[in-house]
Amino acid sequence: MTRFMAAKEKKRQCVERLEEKMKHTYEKRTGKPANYTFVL
Amino acid sequence: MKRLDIKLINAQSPYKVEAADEENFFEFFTEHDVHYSVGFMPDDSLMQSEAYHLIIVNVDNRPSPSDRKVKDTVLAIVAEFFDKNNTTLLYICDTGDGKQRLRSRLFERWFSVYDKKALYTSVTSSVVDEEGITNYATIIVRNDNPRLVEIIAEFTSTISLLNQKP
Repeated sequence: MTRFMAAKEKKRQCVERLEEKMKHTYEKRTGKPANYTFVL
Repeated sequence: MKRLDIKLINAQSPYKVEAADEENFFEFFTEHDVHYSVGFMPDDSLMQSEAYHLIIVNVDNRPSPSDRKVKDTVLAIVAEFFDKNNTTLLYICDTGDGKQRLRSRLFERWFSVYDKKALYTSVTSSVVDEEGITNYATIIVRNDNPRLVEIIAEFTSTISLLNQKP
C-alpha cells in the first residue's frame, strides 16, 4: 500500500505544478479567472 | 520515454496540440476556451518494468462543457505515445472530489470507442487505500508488447495484494 500511496502523492505533486502554470496561461489568454480545475 | 512527434499528433487531433513546459506533457485550448494538459509521468512505485502514468488536467472558469473533440485529442496524444513507446500506461483516477468512479467510466467509454482499441489490452480494477478511499486504476499495454502477459499478471497481482486486508 505504501507504493500505491507514493504513486498517488507523486501524481498530486505533478498536478499541483501543472495547475499553477496552466492557471497563469489560461488567465493570460482568456482574461478570465481560472477558478475551476478538473483532474481526470 | 522516447520523444513524441507533435506534427504526428496534430495530424490526428481536432485541436492544435503544443508541447508544455513540463517534460513529456502537451497542452491545448478547446473552442470553449478550456485549457488542457495531457502528459506522461514516469512510474517508480507500482510497476517493476517501465511504466508511465497518464495525467489529464483542465483549467476553466466554470465546469467545462462536454466536448467530443477533447476525447479525440487525448486519444491522438496517447496513440503517439504508444507508437513511439511500446511500454505500459497507467491511469489512476483522481479521488479529490469523490467522483473517481465517474472518471473511470468516462475513460473506459473514451477507450471503448477508440478505433484502434483492438491493438491494446486494458484492465481496470479498484483498490481501497489506507484512507478507505476507493481508487480506480487502469493499465493499457500494446498487444504486441513481448512482455504483455507478465505485465498484466504483475498489475493484477499488485492490485490483489493491495486489496488484501493486513
